[in-house]
Amino acid sequence: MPDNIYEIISLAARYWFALLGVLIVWRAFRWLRKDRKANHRRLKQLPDAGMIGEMVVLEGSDELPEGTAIPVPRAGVMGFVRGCDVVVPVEGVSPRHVDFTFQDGKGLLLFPLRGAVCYVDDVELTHRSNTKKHPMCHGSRLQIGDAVLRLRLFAGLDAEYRAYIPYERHDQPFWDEPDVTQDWQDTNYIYRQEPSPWQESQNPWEQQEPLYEEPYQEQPQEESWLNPPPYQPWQEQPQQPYQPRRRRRSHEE
Amino acid sequence: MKNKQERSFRKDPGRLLSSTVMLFFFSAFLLLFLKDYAWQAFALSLAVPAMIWLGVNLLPRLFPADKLLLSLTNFLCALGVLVLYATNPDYAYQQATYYGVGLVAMVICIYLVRIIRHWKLPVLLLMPVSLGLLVLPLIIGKETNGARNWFYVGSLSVQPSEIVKLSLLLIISYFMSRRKLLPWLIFAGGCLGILMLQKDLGTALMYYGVTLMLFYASSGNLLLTGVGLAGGAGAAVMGYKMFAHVKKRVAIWQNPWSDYDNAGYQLVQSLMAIASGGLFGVGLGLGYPRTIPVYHTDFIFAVICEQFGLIFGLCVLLMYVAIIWRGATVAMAARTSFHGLLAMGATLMIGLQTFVIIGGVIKLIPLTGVTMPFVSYGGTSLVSSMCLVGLLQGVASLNEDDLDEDTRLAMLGSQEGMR
Repeated sequence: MPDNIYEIISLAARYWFALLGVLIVWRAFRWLRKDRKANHRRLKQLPDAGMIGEMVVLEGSDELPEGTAIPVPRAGVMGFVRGCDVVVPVEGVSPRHVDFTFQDGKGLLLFPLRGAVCYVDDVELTHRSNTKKHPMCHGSRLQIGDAVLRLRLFAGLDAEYRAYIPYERHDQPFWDEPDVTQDWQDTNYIYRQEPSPWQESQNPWEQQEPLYEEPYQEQPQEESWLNPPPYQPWQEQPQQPYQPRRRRRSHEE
Repeated sequence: MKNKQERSFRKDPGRLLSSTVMLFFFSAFLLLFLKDYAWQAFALSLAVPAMIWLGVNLLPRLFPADKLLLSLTNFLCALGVLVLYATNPDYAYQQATYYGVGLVAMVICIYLVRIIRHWKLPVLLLMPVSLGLLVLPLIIGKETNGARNWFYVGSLSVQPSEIVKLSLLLIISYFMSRRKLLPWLIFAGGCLGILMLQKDLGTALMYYGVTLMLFYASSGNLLLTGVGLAGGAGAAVMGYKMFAHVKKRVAIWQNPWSDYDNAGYQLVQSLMAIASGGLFGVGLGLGYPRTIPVYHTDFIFAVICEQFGLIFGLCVLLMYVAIIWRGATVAMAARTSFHGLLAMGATLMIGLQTFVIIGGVIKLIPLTGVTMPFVSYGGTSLVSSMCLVGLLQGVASLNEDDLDEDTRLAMLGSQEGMR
């Protein structure tokens, strides 16, 4: 193509390229905004997303009454101030008291900050102690300042001893043993996990009693001429409006 | 109802964005084809949009990838190929090859992040290997532009600092998430020492900045971060007094016109190219981009501004901002501190590198020799940038899996509650 004609076309095309550049940026930012909104909506429906469990308050304060369940993320800081991931507004707790992180297969590891002390199952932890030897597992008790908290891990986490209090507890005299069902009575939690295989292999002959017994429910009996099914008059069900399947959008995948 | 469905299908943001990107490159390469009727330009006008379509639409079917990140990185990589074709087609063919290699490397990185659950052994292996790689240019490398950061394998030139930045991120993120101070401190210090010996100050600045910011992100310790920042400022002053070429670069940055035909030639040409482009540019394939020294690597942003104008240059900057925004979102949503730090490190690395080079080209900060991520000519740089995006994509896909799992558990819980 002759140079002068190409020059004219190229000079005209530069506006086209600028327009496309602006369009690409506008669409990218619109997509970002849309995704942010969709994520907010999704996370609103999943209040426990990203949480590994809860800290149930056994002893607290007026601001943190007993029985409160504080959600615990995978990693973060526990302390007095509102900026912390787990806020414990109780006397004796530092503004930033202890760092924590959850490790699969181990449990919740605590790293007290300089000058802070906490107790995991009555073992004292400071920033000097080897805190990795004392992870918090399901049912572990944490004393931080004047507060006493108990960790409850959600099911499905790959942590040892997640079902019961560690086996060593059974060696303690019974009056020292914490009353687990009593601790958690104020929350709507149902404690019905199976004992872990580790515990069964350690103590195969001892029959462990469940810490929580499910309330008695009447079992449905088999139908027979003596036990006919209750009379249920036929009722017309309200018809559901037709809803076609919606195509999944790419940003929702 | 069908019309409504079709409308929502057309309004899919991924489809809209990728179609605009494809249209841009189709029209741009077609324009270059009209210039001298070279069949290569016509082939590229079909191949580059096809590659973008494959990258954006086919890859997410193999694994849950972030389509926005894919679209933007593909746009920037293809923009590099386009600008190089307009200035020197030989570089463009090589860059297109590296682009393909980069896509494969990105997929490998995504799979590695998804598959590896225990990073201890890989990280421990990476430490000596990375330090060894970084030392190689000091032994068998050649000094170019005042820095000794390259070595040659046959005809292929390799810049190990570009590869080591990936392992730096992995190592620092791993040890910071495990709260072990000494290993990452020794590794980062060793890397910085070797880079100072190579006189590769731009890369050293990037490594240092990313390490410091990751330290702040992991610990939140403002005091120690401030001490680190003060130490860095002290090292910068020492570097200024010790190295003659640093003094020269600072002097040029202050007034490039004082030595415009010798030391300040690069910067003066770059500023003149940006100014001559104006708001809309001089037109693709026109102007004199080759008068700028190293137009294909360090000063490619000046070439973009000259050919497409300041408005388009600003759009390119905003695309980097979008990538950084997305990366930060991915890092904040990560479930483990290792993945969060890894995503944040990759984002910071891309952001800092962009800031250092574009700031240097537009005379905002003294010029240091780093490449513009995804756009500049250079195989190692392009592949390592794609690997950074791969790490980011891997974390994003893990986040998506976790969120799906949470949704499943929440639905199971609600079903249990209804019983």
